Amino acid sequence: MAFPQGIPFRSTSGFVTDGANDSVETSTSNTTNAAVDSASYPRTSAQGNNVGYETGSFNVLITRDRSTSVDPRLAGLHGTNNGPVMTYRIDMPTAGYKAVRLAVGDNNYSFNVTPPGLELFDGTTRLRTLESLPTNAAAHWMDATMAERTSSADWVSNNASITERFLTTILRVNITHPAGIAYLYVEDAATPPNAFIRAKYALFPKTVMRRISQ
Amino acid sequence: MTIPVTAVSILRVLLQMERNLSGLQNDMRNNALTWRTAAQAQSTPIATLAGFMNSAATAYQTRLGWVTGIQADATNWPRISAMFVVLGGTGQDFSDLMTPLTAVANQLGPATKNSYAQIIALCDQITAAVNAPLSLWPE
Repeated sequence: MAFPQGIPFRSTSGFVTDGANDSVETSTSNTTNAAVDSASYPRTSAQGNNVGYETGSFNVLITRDRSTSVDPRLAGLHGTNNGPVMTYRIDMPTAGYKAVRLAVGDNNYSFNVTPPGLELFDGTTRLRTLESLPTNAAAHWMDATMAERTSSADWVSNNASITERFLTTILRVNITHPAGIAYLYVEDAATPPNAFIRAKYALFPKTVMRRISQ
Repeated sequence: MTIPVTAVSILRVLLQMERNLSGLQNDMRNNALTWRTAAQAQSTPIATLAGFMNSAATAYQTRLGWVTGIQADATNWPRISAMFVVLGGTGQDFSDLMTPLTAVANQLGPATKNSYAQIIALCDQITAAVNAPLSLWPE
């Protein structure tokens, strides 16, 4: 399977033109532009990876097309509408260190997210919170480090990635109401400089090691 | 105490098979159309496009392998098959779907993809072989 893999989230596939590494998630099990039966896994992306929502039901997810004037990756969003946790899955070619990028926000409105928000999992093991803060204005997007980017251009230029080591080939993002997502991206990453320390002290509880390594 | 495999579990797998195979039919067709557009526009390097297609071939094989895996499950497949028969289906229905999808998945990886023209021709072969699945709403 080919990496990187980007997933722009919106309502309509043809609303904007996606980049070569991106495969839009619309979850259009119906065409009402809302309240989709949103479980979509497995879907094989044009990049050759099996992806999709593993869980979902009517009235849980709202999909929106927002603007063709912003970067195509930020053109729309999926937002939760109560209901159970939504889980998005990407099957990766290999385990190992992966860089993850994210955009959470709405071009038209400030966007409400409260903890736990978006959480990153390696298979069934929780790795970290990706995003749990609201944006303060329309056309602001939070990145994977929970930094608020104040325009499309700001997000494009400055969005930062986080790097995590995956022991499995299954990346999951849990999205707990109120929350949503505009863009998710994952690619192979180099082994970080502190990897030796992490390995040496691997007997420590994961939470302790995370404090050391961050 | 573990929960036994009940008819509810069997139905779940049957529905997963439907979603997987119908979705695979859709994905094979839609991805071929996407690759064809990219090849025609020459907007993505040939090697990158070829990489996507080779990766997709692997992903398709994975999804088909899930089906052949459950079909080889001597304990559960007879129950799944029996439930499908109750719905009016037969083993032939799975074969009719699996055979062309498997052929595309098998041919996609080894196919020559050294030029945009070859990629376009390959995509045309896929869309000729894989029509869109029947759907109640426009897809």
